[in-house]
Amino acid sequence: MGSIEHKIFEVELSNNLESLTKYLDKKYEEMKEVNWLDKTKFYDPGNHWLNFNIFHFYNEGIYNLHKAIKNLTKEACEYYNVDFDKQKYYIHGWFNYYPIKLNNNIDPDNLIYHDHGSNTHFPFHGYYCVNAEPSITYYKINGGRFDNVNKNNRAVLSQNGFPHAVGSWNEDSNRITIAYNIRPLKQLNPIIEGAGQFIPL
Amino acid sequence: MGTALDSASMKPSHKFFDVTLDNDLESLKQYLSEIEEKIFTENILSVPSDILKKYDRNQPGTLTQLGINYYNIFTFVNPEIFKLKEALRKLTMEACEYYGIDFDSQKYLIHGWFNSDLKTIGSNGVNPLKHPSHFHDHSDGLGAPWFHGYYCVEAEPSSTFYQINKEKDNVFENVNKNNRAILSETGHPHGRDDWFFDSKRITIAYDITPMNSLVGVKPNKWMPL
Repeated sequence: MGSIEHKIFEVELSNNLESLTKYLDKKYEEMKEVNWLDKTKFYDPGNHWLNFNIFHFYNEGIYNLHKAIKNLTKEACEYYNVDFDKQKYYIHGWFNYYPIKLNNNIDPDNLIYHDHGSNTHFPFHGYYCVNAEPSITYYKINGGRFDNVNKNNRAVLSQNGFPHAVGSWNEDSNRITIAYNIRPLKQLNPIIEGAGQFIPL
Repeated sequence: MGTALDSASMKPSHKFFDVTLDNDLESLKQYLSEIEEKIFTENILSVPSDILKKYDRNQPGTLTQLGINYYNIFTFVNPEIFKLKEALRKLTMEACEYYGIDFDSQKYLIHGWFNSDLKTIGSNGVNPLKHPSHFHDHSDGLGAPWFHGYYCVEAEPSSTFYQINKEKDNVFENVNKNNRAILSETGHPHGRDDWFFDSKRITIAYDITPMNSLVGVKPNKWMPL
């Protein structure tokens, strides 16, 4: 992907966000019941992302998202001159359920940035906003910063290798997003990751 | 292509949909053999140990039973299995067209497992023509839009028998062919022939169901088709 300029791919869905929020609220309570070991900390299912794949959930909105991400990945592959079919892409997704106050008054350049694996073999990462307005996700791109102003019902996709961080959230509701990693078959372990963490895109 | 109508229900009559793949079957057999070994020796499916030890890997149906609760073969990272899933998506579209079903609105999910069965010995026979209790169905035999099928990795020579429309005297013998995937609506009970060879009989089987039939069900291993 090296010399081709970074690009964020995006698509807006027509999901019923009220219904999806209600569904994820319920899943949150179920998962908290089972996994909330340290009661002194806020429980975030995103911290348990290795234990589930949201695309195994039976929900129409999530199903629509899976399909939309597949199309976005095809678009990204076309941009980077990658043969989508040959890559045999797999996806692993989870949801983030952030506290009602987060990262307030922190200068965007001082946030903790993170990435999702190496950028070899054309892997991608992205997220879909269920309840993330108003907020900004910051990307470090080639020494500069790109401010991605979030919009609910929009899925974005970016190649790995460009660390990102979530900006301030100061609302009376939890900030909910669905995040996903997309990897080609050759980057996955056929045995260890064969138990369901990733599924074909 | 014309559609044959069942005179009683005006529903299109039963039809098999099939596609032959170009998968490397030796490679796939080796992979499945390794997976099978690791399921029982390394517990890669994380089955509670007291439950795992109840499964006898030498009995037909063991990997099927484990599949119901503990794995979906289409999550296994393998190029041949990936290709099979892609082929099944197309076969399901073809079947939907035949039955007049809108594929997209069904939001199909798939769950698959593999069978790795030993030679039939003595009273272990499963041929449903001799032992009718081995005729079985999937998804409560509801018919389209619910589908079931299988793909032969090593199943030659053998047959799978279908009781069309659940009629005892209306049995269709499906002569199996390696590297071929079959899809049929449910509602036509089936069962496989006995197997008389030293090598294992290996197939991959799958259920394909509309999402609305799983709403409210605790998520396990189904995934988008």
